[in-house]
Amino acid sequence: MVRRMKLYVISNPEKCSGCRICELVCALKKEGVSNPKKARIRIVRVFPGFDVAVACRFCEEPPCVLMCPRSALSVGENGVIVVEKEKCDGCGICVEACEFGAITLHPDTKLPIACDLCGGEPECVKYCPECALEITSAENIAKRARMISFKKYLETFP
Amino acid sequence: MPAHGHTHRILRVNLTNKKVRVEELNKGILDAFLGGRGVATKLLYEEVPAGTSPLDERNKLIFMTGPLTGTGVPTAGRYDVVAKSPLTSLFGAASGGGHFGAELKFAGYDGVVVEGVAPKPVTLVIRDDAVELRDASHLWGLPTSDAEKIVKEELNDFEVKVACIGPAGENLVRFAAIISERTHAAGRCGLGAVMGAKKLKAIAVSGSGDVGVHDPDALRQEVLELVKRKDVLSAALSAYGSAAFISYVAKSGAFPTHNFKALSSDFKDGFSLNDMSEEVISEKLVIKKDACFCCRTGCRRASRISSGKYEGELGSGPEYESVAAFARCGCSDVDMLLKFQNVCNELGLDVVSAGSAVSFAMECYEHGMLTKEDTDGLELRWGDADAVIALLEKIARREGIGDVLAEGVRTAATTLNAEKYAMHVHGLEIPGYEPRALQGYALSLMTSNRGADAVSSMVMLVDAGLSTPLVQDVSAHASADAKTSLLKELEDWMQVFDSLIICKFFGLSLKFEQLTRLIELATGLELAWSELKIIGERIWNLQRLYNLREAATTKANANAAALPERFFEEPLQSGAAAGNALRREEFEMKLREYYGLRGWGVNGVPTAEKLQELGLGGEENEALRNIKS
Repeated sequence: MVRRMKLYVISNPEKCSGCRICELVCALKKEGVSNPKKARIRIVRVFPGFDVAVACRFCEEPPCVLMCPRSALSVGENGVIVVEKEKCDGCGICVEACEFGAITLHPDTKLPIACDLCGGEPECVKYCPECALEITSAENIAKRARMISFKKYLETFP
Repeated sequence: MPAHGHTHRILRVNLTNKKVRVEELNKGILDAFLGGRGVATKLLYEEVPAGTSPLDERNKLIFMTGPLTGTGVPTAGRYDVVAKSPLTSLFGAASGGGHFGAELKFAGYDGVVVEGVAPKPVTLVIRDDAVELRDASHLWGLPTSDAEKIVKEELNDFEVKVACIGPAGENLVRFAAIISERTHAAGRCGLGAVMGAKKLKAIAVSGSGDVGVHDPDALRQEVLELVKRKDVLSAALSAYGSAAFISYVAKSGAFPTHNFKALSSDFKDGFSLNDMSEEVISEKLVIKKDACFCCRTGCRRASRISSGKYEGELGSGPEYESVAAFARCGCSDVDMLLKFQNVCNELGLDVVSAGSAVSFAMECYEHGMLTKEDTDGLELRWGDADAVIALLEKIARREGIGDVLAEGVRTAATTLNAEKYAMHVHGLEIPGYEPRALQGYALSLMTSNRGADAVSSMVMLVDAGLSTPLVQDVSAHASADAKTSLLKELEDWMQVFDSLIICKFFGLSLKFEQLTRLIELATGLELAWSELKIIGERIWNLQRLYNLREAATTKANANAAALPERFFEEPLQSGAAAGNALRREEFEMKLREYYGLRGWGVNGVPTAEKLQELGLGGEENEALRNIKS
């Protein structure tokens, strides 16, 4: 068994300006066009100025894969969702299954699209002008949280 | 037709007979006028009959995108809106930021022309090719954020982009704004009242199409470079938002307060600009950055009121013009500043004109020309922020004195016999820069086709010392009478920006060659920068012709008599420009110089040769026949 760290793209809502350059560069890279609805990462605007980025979390037992009645979806390398075009009929049940809204149907082909991490170097992370995006793992997030809390503890020393 | 930046599709919506149709936008008009404000100017000129009253059903409300909109070029998510202005009865235009313009392009349209009047309130819903008019009776009377929220809920689409009017637009307040995405205003010229007259409460748009461009790979490379780049202007805006201009402008002695009164340096009366400096705004109000579509700078802000009775209320910015409008009312409480901007956004009022109307009333009150009896007991004392808010509500609902002020300061001043306190040019209230301190800007107030207008030249920032790549390029080509020439050139370039449509802050940071390259990659049009500039000049001249046609006299033209007397009679008493007043003779001379540079006659009317040169020699020339000098 290959041991790997599960990676995904997350955003820091405190830094994210909602400019949607991530959507743009994703659509440009994956589809060669400017069209945010073809992006694999999407910005959710909760209130003017308050935004969060949503991309595939690469679930261990992805509901989108489990729910697909035609078994068109499977889990590939690094947890990336793989779509078999021949089997998929664009029914969209995978979209319903995803609690995050991270998988959507391509507006033209109606095939599911989701983040594939650009092979490990996501375009969105590279171009985010606010450095609000990062590719990270649950383990890293926890490590950082532990470090921050420990630093606070240190500050209480005289 | 292959989509090159443009979709070549215009959506025509007739509200009277509920007919909706898609029309092809021909290449000729796009080549001559680029898109955005340029094309809208041409459509307004051709389609709205001379002499149409701005609130008449024959006036048209034209929403436009440009060839760069939605291509991913930074800041190109804006939209432009054009109609005959209810404030000036001349050319009216405004521009809104955010994501609305890009979404309209993704839906497959270069623009939407709204015609006629709906029998009862409607919302125009555009979802790609599906276009419908929905009843909006239940939204009528609602503030903009509530209206937007309900539209989204009813469409069950929380990412749909909504532009709407508030109570001010519905009640035909002549400086009503169109508000998109709750905090972006297409504010100036009162186009919200045109929307209100048409009983169009909101436009909701959602698009899923690509924006086709001439050379996708090369444009992609260019865009990827541009989204990474930072420059001086963008660094300042990134750090403080447009509020960054406060101390910059104040340093030049060009930050007006108290309805442009010339105040001595020991004047206090509880007012201190330091209480709402960009640092204070950042510290007390700002939570985080916010940005328009594909903008790397992010000059916008998400903010929260930090204390007082509105503590906790969220908002945006505040923007420079809100700060300046609030200061003109003698107010400097930073928390109330955000409340002021929020109220303007919710009611759908242009902050610039709203601040001017209130400060005009305050000065009338100071001189006893308005009393408590006239204001239903409201004491309009300088610096009373609660009174400001209360008066804004009255204006938006046309209650009591609010009904008088809702007509704009020009008309209100006639009613109250208080012309000398009415700070406007041709009916459009003056923005937040002091003309006595920035004399190039003072001239631009005279020459602008919208009336008192800062952003159709941006010369006020150049006057205050701003230098950017575009300004350097323009300066290098300016002629001997440098200042006047610079103004003329900047006016033409700003028409280009408003037609492409890109944010002026971004446009100013480009060099000529970068601009022409972006256009070429998006549209395939290979334009030398000089050819591009002529398009700007063509647009400017057509707006001028429109104004001459509508006013049927050169009096509505640029002339020093149109500027408030205060700027000539009352020298500034404090600040870096203390002692400055405008001089009529000098002004008239500069205007003649300007007319000369424009190739216009001494009365400011474009000559036949000039129009010929710009390709406006045909029917446009007709406009000049009936003009009285």
